[in-house]
Amino acid sequence: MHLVDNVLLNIVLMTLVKFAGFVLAFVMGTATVLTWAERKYSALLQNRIGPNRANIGSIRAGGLLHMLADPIKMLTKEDFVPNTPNPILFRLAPLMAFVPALVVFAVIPFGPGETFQISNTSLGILFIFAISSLNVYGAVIGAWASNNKWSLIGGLRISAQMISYEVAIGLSLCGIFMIYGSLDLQDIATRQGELLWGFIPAWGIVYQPVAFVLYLTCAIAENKRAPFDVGEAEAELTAGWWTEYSAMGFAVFALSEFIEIVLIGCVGTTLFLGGWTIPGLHGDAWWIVVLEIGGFLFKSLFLVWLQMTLRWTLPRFRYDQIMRLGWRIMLPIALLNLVVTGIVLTFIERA
Amino acid sequence: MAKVTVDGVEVEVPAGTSVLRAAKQAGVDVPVFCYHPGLTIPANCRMCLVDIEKAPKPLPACYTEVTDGMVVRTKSDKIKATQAAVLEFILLNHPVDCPVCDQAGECVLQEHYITYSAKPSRLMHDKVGKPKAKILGPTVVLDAERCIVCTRCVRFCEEVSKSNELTVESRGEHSEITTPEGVELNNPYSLNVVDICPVGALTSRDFRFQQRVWFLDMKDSVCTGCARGCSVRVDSHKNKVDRIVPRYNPDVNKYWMCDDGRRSLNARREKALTLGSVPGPNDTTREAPALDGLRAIGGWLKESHAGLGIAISASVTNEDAYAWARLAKELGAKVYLLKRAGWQGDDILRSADRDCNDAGVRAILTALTPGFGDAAQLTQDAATLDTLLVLDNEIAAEAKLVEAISDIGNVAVLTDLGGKLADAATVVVPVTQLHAREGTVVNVAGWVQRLAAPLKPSVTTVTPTVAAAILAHAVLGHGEHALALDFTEKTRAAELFDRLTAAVPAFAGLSYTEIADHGRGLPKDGVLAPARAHINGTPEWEPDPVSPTYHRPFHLRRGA
Amino acid sequence: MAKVVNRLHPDFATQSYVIEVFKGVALTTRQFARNLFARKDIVTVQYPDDRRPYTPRFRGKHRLMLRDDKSVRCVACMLCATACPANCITILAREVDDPTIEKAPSAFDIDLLKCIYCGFCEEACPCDAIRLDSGVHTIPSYTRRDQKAGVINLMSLGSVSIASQGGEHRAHSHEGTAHGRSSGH
Repeated sequence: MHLVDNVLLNIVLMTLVKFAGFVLAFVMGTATVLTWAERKYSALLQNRIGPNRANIGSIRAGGLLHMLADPIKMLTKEDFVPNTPNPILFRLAPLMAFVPALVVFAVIPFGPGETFQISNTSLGILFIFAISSLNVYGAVIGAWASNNKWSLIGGLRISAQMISYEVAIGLSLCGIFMIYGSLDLQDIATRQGELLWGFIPAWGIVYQPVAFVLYLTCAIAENKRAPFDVGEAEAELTAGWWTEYSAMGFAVFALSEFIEIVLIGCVGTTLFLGGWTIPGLHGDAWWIVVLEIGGFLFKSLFLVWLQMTLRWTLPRFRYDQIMRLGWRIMLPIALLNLVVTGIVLTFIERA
Repeated sequence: MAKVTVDGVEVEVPAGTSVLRAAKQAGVDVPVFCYHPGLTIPANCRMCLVDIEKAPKPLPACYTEVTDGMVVRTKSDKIKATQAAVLEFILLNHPVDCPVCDQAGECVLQEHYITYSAKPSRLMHDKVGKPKAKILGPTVVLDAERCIVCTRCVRFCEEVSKSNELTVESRGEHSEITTPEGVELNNPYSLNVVDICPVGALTSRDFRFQQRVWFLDMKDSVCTGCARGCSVRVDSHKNKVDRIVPRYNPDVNKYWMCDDGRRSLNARREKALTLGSVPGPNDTTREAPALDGLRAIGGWLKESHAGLGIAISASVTNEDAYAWARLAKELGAKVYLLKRAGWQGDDILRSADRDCNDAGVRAILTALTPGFGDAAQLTQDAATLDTLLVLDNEIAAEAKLVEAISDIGNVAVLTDLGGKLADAATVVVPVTQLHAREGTVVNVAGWVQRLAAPLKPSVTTVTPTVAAAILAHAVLGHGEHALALDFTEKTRAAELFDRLTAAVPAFAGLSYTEIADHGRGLPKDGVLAPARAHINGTPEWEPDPVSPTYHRPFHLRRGA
Repeated sequence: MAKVVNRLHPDFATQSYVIEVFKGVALTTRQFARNLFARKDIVTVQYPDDRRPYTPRFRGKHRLMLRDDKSVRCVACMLCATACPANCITILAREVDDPTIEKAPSAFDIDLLKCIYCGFCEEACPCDAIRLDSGVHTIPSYTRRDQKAGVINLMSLGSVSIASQGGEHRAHSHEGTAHGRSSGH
């Protein structure tokens, strides 16, 4: 009994530590910084200055204090609930968007071995798909419960868009599973640490460059960010599906969007950019592990930066263009990629 | 008759007509300053100089009589030069302080200058200085610098008011209107000199600086100050009456009206009642809008309307008198006609009888009630009455009457102005103020005219007609009152007048629209006098071509 | 004549959008890097701290000009209220004892929320009494009442104007009650 207790306690404690270190510190930290970084970055892209007014005394820290000022503002604003028959759903929706985005990080391996993964499951990537596709409920239910035409139209657009791109994103990743023969993310990450022909890192992006482009595109579409933000479409729909949200309701929605940016970065890193592995570096020494974790975080942040740059570079697609892109271009290419991968793998196995 | 050609238009006018009138008949306007159709003709301004064939030099159109075959030119180059020169002389010492001048906007000098001269001054020297803002009397202020010495005001005081207060002092450019030492311009008609002054020399102390004239909304109405019922124009702005000026009506007041009529608006503005009073708990009274007061009266009448007396002022409109006479008949009330305290009348305009509709109310009560008493009768009957309703308290509230009334259990006064009678009443119902009610009144000579309503009524008040309908509704029940009274709360003055003409023989044949702004006489022996031909075309109708009461100034109309 | 629009005929590589996306990313990244290290491209004006210079013709908050003795020049002629297309000027006049002035405003209210700063009042004014050249942007306030600029408020921005009332100025010494007023028409 004593032993069992100890093991259980160990597991709970270790999980909490990992959660605090990875999810709270890294993911939430990054998401928080993104609230400032996105505005500042977009400002600099567009020859503006960006947020810089929040201050403590004369300390402005280049606007970094906005990270502090915004939550204070969001917490103290009027938490408005529109005249809706579903006030409970209206309240619930931000959480329904927020929780799945956060839960998914449980299976991301951010370092070598089980130590650096909150929960090791052999179904890793399926778990990600299963949970993150719940995300659409938060947005659509929020839009529906807002009892507002703009919200409803925005909600309809994103529900169709997210479900469409779910198909393409799933198919685009199948090639990866076929190559590495596993759904276990830790497994996939470890396999990417090998070298191909002795000098090329055996990363997913090398094997599956098409899949990477498809993944990134579809993931951004899943996250409803520009150029796929027709659900928000402020030029037509005020603020689309979150028109009626204010104060913390809005803040939670916005935060879950930023968390998803980090999530896309982490998953993309794990599947395409070699996960935590660093080519040519193997071993159990503590400095190697630190380097590997650092590498993982760096690669994730690179993808976060890429998403942000794309978002502030590309103009918004029209709704029909998005649907055409999803069904008539993304899906066939993903299928073709799958078929070609299968044929190539078969030939390699025969050989 | 003489045939005259004015600017190529041939007209036929009676011999002895002035060239000015003949030109008017030919549709040609000749500019004037000093000429006024109601006064003698001095021909001193020289503005109306016209070219007459075979005459060696221009002649004043106002004073020159026509001869057969006369050919007049008013727009020849010579006349144009003459007019410009006359204006240059008139304006030589004029201060041109139009921004501070009340006349600006209805100033004949401004308009003639723009039309006939529009040249800059060539004066090299200082202008002649004269007294400014000199107080001539209790009502009028003189700015001698603006004066063009047309002497209209002097002539008015000599010929119309016959009080001779004004005179011209000095000569040439130093000429100045003034009063003799120790005399001030103080007669009951003194403010007429402000109207007839073509420039801003004479201004009214009441209206001075109150409002610029181009902001004023103008409505044709009737003065209710006395039984003369002078035709007036009520000028208002933003729901406030700013001034009352006479309006030319050959059948009533010609060009004039008295100062008290004009200044009645001051008292009305101060004493206007928007809230009445009803009994509150524990012998208190509280302020209340009209409907609360009517509800209280309705309560009394529903309980019992035996011993009901209705006293109607002789100053209410025909429509209100008709409505209340119908109500009194329906409720079996005794009816009394009350009068205002009289004043000193004169043979110019002021009538000793101050009730503006005595003739009309009398005719209506005679036709619709079995008989009516007067104030003395009411004092005598007071002991026998249980309830007394008084419509309009602009009546002589003699101490004896007030005392007698205070013995009656339920007394209600419907009025737009507070007074002694209202103080003694149990219930006071605020009535829509005079300038917000339409209706007709009959003057001392039997001339029927229409009151206009330039103001918006206060929502806490009702008109007497509506009050009658509401009371009938309370007593007789819904639907019944409309059948019994033949009108409801929604009946407008025009419709009510039509019913009145059908019911009261003295008004037979009149129609609300035909009364228009000129008015109609009551039928004599059942025959209506033919309507006067309208303004254009008849020499008989000659308003002052200069006075703002005829000459409507530019009016700035903007959204309410 | 219709305008001829030259249509673009992008090749397949452009149409596929993949390369174009990266070209765009490169462009924005380059701009980002430039703005990160040098501020010369940045167009933002830090409004309350820095202000763009106003042009001489800028029409800001109204001011009422003063005479030599610091009394208000306005004679309450209401021509500004007449010219005002927004109907935002309310003037009440009063009589002044000095017969050379005669009339002055007892209240001069401008509803700054209604005002459209067209400057018609300035043009209509015959006395150089109202001007919009204060250079003061309308200051925001918490209540509507604060946006009613009364005569005191407007005069506080005023300064002495040397234009003579009613026209060109001439020294004047005339016996009697009239002083110093002279004017052409």
